[in-house]
Amino acid sequence: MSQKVLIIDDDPAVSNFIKYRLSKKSYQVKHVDNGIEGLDAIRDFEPDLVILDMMMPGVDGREVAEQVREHGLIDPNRIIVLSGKKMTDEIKALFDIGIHDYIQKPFSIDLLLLRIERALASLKSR
Amino acid sequence: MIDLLEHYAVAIMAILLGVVLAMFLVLIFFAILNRLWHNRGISRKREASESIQPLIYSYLDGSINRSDFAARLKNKHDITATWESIEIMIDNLSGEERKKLQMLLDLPPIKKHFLRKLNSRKPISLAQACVYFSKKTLTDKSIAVRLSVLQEHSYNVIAYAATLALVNTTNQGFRDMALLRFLLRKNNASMAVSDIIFKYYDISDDKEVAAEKLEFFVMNPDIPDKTRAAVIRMFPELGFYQTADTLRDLLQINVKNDPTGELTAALLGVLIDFSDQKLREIVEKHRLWESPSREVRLKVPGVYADIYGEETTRILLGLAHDPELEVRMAAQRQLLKHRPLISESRFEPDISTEWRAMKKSGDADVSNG
Amino acid sequence: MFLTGNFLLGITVLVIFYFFALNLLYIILVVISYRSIRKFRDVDSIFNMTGVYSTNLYKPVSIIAPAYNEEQSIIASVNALLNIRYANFEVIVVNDGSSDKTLQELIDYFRLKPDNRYRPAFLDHKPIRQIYSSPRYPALVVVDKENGRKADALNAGINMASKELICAVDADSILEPDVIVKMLRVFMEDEKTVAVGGVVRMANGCTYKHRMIDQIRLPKSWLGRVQAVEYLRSFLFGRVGWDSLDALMVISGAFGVFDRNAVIRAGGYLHDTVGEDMELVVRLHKYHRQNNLPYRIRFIFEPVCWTEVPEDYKTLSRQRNRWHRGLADTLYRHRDMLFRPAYGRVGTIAMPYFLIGELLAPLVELSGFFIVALSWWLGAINISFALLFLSFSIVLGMILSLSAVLLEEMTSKRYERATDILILALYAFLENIGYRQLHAWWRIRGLVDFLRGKRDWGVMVRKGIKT
Repeated sequence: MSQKVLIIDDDPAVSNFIKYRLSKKSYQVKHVDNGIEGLDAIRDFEPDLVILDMMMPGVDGREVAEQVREHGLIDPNRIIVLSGKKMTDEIKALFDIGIHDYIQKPFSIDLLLLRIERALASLKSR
Repeated sequence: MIDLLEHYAVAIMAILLGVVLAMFLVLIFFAILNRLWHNRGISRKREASESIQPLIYSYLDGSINRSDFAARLKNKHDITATWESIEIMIDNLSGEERKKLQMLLDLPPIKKHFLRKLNSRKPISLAQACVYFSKKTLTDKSIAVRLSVLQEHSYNVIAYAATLALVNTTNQGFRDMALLRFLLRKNNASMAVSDIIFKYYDISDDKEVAAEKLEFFVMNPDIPDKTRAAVIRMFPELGFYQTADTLRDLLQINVKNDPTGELTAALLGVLIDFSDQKLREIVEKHRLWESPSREVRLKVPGVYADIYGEETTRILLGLAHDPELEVRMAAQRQLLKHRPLISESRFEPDISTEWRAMKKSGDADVSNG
Repeated sequence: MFLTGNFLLGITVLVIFYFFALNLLYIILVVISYRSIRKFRDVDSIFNMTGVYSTNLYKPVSIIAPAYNEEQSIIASVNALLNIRYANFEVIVVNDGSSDKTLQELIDYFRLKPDNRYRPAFLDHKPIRQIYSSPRYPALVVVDKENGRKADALNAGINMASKELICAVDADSILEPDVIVKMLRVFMEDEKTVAVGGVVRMANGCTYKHRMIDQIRLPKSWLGRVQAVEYLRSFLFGRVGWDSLDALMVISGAFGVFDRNAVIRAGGYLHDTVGEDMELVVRLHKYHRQNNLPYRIRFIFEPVCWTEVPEDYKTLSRQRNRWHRGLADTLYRHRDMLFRPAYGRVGTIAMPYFLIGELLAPLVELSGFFIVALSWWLGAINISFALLFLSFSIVLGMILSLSAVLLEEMTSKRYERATDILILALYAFLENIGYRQLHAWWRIRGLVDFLRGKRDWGVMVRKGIKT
């Protein structure tokens, strides 16, 4: 069975691109453009990995990660955070929550795919 | 007589009513038409971007090439949609994809579209063109000349956008010229200056040369003091510790004839940030705590952050009674920090009235600031 | 008989003159607003483009949100504030002595810890009980103080604020996600800016999605729709027009960005007025003019925040009563600025307008009815003239309202459906039947209350915003 990746990002041009490339690698991909739907999708779609954008209007990445931990939706270690700004404090707080990794924008798509693959592999082997 | 007057008044009123009624009908017709037209434009734009995005992805994949892509661009909506998607993607992606996207921007129909805008007179078109040219690598001399003309535009924002486009090029000559022209302008907002400086430095290949140039610019008296102050305030952010000597010299030269105190205050702030050891000497030589500029006096307590002693206490106590509240606050905050080292009798009880202690346990770490 | 006739004629001519002068001013404001929006709409979209001003070098902002008995909505509100798209900001929530669990909710959700710190005392306010911060939310500070109304809470927040700019918000209104960036570009354009306001729009009837306004719709109720027309008119050509005349007198208390030092120097918010938002703006004008300091007070025509307005008569009448008392109070306090060229267009145009065109307007309207009734009784009325004049004034009012709708079309957030225009036009007509008179009555009551020295707020019942 193919592994499931959830993308939570409000920017359609970029997240559609990630989705497009991931689908080509035969992952099952779902994309939502905001935090609230993101939390619903984490519950219903049960992704193996979440790509989470920090900067979103309404409910942002920080709040999503917190809710995930608060309610034990999935292991926070299944979250990779994407962020455009160098927000050291925020990133530290996210690692405290227990996220898997953090990737700064602008990013190379190949590198992102590689990290996703590695993350999924390491999560599986455990 | 009265009857006649009334008659006229009624007639005039009737005519006026007719006029406004007609106006109202025209307006409402226009409003509805305008809205329908607007809504149609929005939906066409959405359609265009939905059809263009997959094309961009296939192009990045290599499934289609540039000319295939160009052939698919049918109308203005397609061009705008392409530009809007690419613009966001360029900001978010690095490496191979970014280069390929920049190549896509060079497609003749897109380039032509923005060249037309660059020569338009509408501010919005000009700015769009500037942003477009700032995203691709610019090599064309005539475009650079046109952009440098726009640096003198009466809208600050267009001057800014044009500068940004030139600073973003790979041609070092264009970049330096653009930066100097921008800094020489009279009415730059300091945030715009910081932003340009940051971007100029960020994409400079040779950081050392870039730093030297900026150091050279702040010595240039033709550049307005306000702009120079804004450039100087960027130095700690950029980590220019090597500039401390230059800045100290500049402070020495300027301290005597700086009517607004803006430049002096900026220099003090930066040198404090650099923990410059010789700063205290200059401050005391020129008795800067007596400066007429509020901004300068406001910086003085920071100089004594880690210097204790009789002289420090005397200066800070003086500033603690400054007519300007903010200066008093800064001095008092520093005094509170030094408190354990000052004999209680010298520590006048009234100086802490403007700092209300939340809790006595907070004495040791005076935060907030 | 002859004397009364002349007397009546005199008053009639005066009222008609008043009417024409006021409407002339409105038409001028519409034209000015149109030109200014057309010019600055372009600038606006330039700033909206990515790539422009995208680094972290904006001025830092302290967002100050006073909260009083908001246990239901406080967590959602604060989370929304923390999610604002901006690089360098802090959120200061001031719990203004709530009698419910507002503070406890905050402590529990954000894991607040008491924070030992010295705090400055630039402005006076009721004593602070405790300051809280949270290691997990570095941008959040909560101040718990004794109850002292909104102005008092804002002053405490301003003291606490550590950033260059402050932004006063109502905790229960919905902010546009990029609102701070929108406001900041005004400060970037012109460094002399000390205050910026923006368009406050009605949230009633709109649909929400993820704590944000999703679709912009008209409310269903009659009072709601009449107010929709009113809000568009007052924000889109009122304030934009005053802004281009450099004579803006009001920045809504629901959202405004100020230069912190300027506010502190001018003396902060006033405790004993019900119109503290308007009063502060007028005082900023006064302070800078008196001290010959260069300054700008600006208004941007983009929507910045959405607020739920009262849709029942009782609450609305209290609100309008309070607004009118606030207006009277501000004009009275600063009566020395009236007609003084030393205060620029604020003194020569804006204040006289607010005095004659707003404060006294309900009295003029009332006397208009009185004249009509008296003339009727005396048989001295020309029925056809009266009817024509009435229709003329109504149609003119509708044209003004419709131009506000057209101006709104030029901003980014609009009512989407074409039928909404017809509904708005209809209500621009219907507002003349009943609402106008009622509104005048509420305002007269406000004026009377002001003269009697009534200063309190009256109870404000909010329906609350669903998130």
